[in-house]
Formats: sequence, C-alpha cells, structure tokens
Amino acid sequence: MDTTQLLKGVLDLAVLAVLADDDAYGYHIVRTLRDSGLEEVGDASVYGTLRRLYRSGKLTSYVKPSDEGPHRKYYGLNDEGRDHLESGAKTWRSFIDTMDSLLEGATA
Amino acid sequence: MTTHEPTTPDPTDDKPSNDSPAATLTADRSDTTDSAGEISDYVDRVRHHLSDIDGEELDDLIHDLELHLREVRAETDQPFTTVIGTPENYAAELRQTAGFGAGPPTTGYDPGRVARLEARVARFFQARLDSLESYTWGRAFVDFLPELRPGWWVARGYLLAVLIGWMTSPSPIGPLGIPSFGGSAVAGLITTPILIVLSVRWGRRRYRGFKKVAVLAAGVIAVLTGLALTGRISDNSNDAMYYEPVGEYWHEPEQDWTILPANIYAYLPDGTPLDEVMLFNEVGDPVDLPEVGFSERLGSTFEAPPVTIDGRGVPNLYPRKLSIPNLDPTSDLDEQPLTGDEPAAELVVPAPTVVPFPDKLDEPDRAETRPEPSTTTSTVENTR
Repeated sequence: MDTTQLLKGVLDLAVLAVLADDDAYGYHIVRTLRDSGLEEVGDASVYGTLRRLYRSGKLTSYVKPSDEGPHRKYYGLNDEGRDHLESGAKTWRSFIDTMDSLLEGATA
Repeated sequence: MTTHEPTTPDPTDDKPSNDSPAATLTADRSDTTDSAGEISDYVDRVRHHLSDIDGEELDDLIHDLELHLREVRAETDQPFTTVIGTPENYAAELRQTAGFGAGPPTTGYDPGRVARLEARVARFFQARLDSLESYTWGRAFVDFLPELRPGWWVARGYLLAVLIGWMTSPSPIGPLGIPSFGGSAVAGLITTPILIVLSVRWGRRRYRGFKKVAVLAAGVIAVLTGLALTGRISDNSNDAMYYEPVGEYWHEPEQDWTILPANIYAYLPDGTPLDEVMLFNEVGDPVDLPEVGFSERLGSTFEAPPVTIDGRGVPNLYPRKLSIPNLDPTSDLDEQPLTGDEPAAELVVPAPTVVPFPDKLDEPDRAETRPEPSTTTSTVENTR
C-alpha cells in the first residue's frame, strides 16, 4: 500500500499541522509537505483540502501584496482550526498507538 | 471531523481588494505575457471541468491555481502538465479533495478549445479596454456599454425579422416598419415579436461552445442585414430627389409632349398680340407645358420662367420665352428674351384659387365673338 491511500485520510491533519506554526501560502504548504517526506501528495489535493477546511470555518485567508514580487494568498489557522488540530492530533496518536501495537504483534 | 458553514468573517480574513481574483493577478506586472497566457490556458481548461461548481467558490479555487502556477513557473520551465498533471486530472483531484461531488460527464469533443479561444479573444479585448479606461471619459464610456446590450438584443431580433421578411415577402416591411412574413404583414406582426423575444433570451443566457457561436453568427447576420437596409433606404431617398429643375421650380414631367404644343401664343381677336398671358385650366391649375430646357421641336432653349418676388416660379406665363429669337415669319410677334434685370415685383400672380373667367362667362356676345380656332392658328405659327 502506498502512502496515497493513507494520506487521503490524514491530509487535513497534515495541512493543519503545517499551518500551526505560521500562516503560509499554498505553494509553500505544498513544498513543506513534500520536503517533510510526503512526496506523493498532489498539488490539487493540497488546495482542495485548503478550500474545504476554509469553507468549514477552520482557516483564515488573506492576500499579502508584495512590493518586489508577486502577491500571495495566505492561509492560517483560526481558533476553531487550532481546536480541530489538537483533537485531530489526539485521535491520530491514539490510532497510531493502536496500529503500532497491532503491527508489533503481527510482525514481531 | 465536523463540517459546518463558515462563521462570520474573521477580522484577519481579507479577500482580494478587487472584485475578481483574476484582476489582482493581472495587476502585477511581474509576469511575462507568455507565462500569463500559458497559465490562463491551463486554468481555463480546469475551470471548464469544474463548471458545475458555484461561481464564488470556483473563483477562489481558480485563483489559488493561478497563484500556484505562477510559483511553479518561477521555479521551473517545465510544462505545467508535467509538473502538476493534466488539467482534467487536476480538476478531478481538486474536486474530490475539496468535497464536491462527481462532475458532469465529459463529452467527446474538446470543449476546452472553444473556451480557450474565447478566453484569448476576451483577453485581447480586455487589454484594449484597459488601455481605453486609462482616460476618464473612456471609463465612463466603457461602463455605459453594458447598458446598450439589451437594445442590441432587440435590434438583433428585429433585423433578423427583416431578413426573413426579405426572403419570404415581396414587400418585406409592412406598416409601422414591422417586417412581414410569408407575404403577410399580419403574420409579420406575430413572428417579429417572437424573434425579438428569442433574441433577448439569447442575450440574457450565457451560452458556451457551439450555441455561443450560433448566437454570434446570428448577430453578424443581423448587422449585415442592417447595413443592407440602410443601403436600400438611401437609394430610395435618392430617387425621391430626382426631378428636372427648370429655373427655380421643380417640374414633374407627366404629360405626353407629343400631343401638346411646345409653346402658346395668344392674340386678341383683332390681331393684337398678347405678350404675356397667364393660362389656367377649368379647375384653376396653371396650364403647364412639359417641354423644358432645350426644345427639340423649336430648336432653341426656353428661358427660365420668371419668378415672383417670393421666389415662386411662374410656369404658365405664355408665350414662354426662348433664348434665341423666334424665326417666325409673322414678324408682328415680339420676342424679347427676359433678362435678369426684369423686376419680379411687376408680375402680379393671381391666387391659385381664382377661377378663370371662362367658367363665369355669362355674356353670349363674347362667346360669339370668340375667334375661331382656325383664325388664331393662321396668325400663329411655330417655327419649323
């Protein structure tokens, strides 16, 4: 199983995690995810996730004009997004622990 | 994961300052036109595959993509399809992760091509409009143009009705300027409003693809019909102006000059010539002879008729003067061409309503003493 299947369930969490530290624009988010090891994540998936999170009220969005370069559209977490990230991270960890113990028993 | 409608706008949430996200994109001058065109092409195809998505959300999706492509192009020269996939695939993946359902089924032909062509044409004109809008009057004019569109829709329908009238009726335009249909002005009263309503419907709905081309073709045909129509109108008005001028009055030749004399000479019974008589017929109309200008029969040219002080020509003053003296052997005829010095004020023109005295003739004596026609012709001869 490649990571794309796994990724589909957790891309929301990954995107929220990238934005936890700082607001970022789309291209930077894509690059960060790729650089951190998720090489198969598609650009469209990232943007689709961003829009869905925004529409569900977990992200803010604004355009930052730039003097020397092109303007960029930034996304950031709002309070609801932070809550969602926190609860999602908890869910994730407990899930991982469950899977780890299952796999340990199976592959040991 | 909970999903619900977004809350009231966050204070830090700023939409782009312009109405259209694309406007902010083109506002930056850092793009070369090539990459802007390349981005637009890709984006148009993606937009086409997402056409079922609501407009504002679609605009946001597309705006994100445009910015992304710009960053991509800044990083690499590879074609977009290589870097992020084909527009179709991108659109499908975007649709899925953004939470929209499956899109409309794709058809056999490439709709993107028409969309791309439309977009290219629109960008061309938009660039022209942008340069026009830099003048304040240009902006006012450009802002006003959309208000003319409904008028164009009505005109288009009417002109198409005129065209159908031309094709189906011998007299294409009926009363009140409404085109006929199939030879009937009444049928035209029904079909013309139908065509106008159809044209307004075409204008109000935004078609794409082949339907849009069909509507544009109808518009071109309507414009051509309008040009042909104005051509016909100017032709007809030229005809109306075609009269032969004689001096300063308009003369409409309608009598057969072969049976009417070229000139009339009047004499009193005792042979005294009457230099100037004014002749009227039984209803008070001036007797007017049709030959004007050069008279073939007489071999010389009529002078312009005298005019009254208010500029009216007097066509029924006889004998009509010829520019070359008449070579009549009856030398008691006094021919003097009128010169320009003749004061027009000496001429007394009776009112047209005056009934000539022959109708009121109540003196039998006078009637009896009227000269025989043969008598008068003996003293009057036309030059041959």
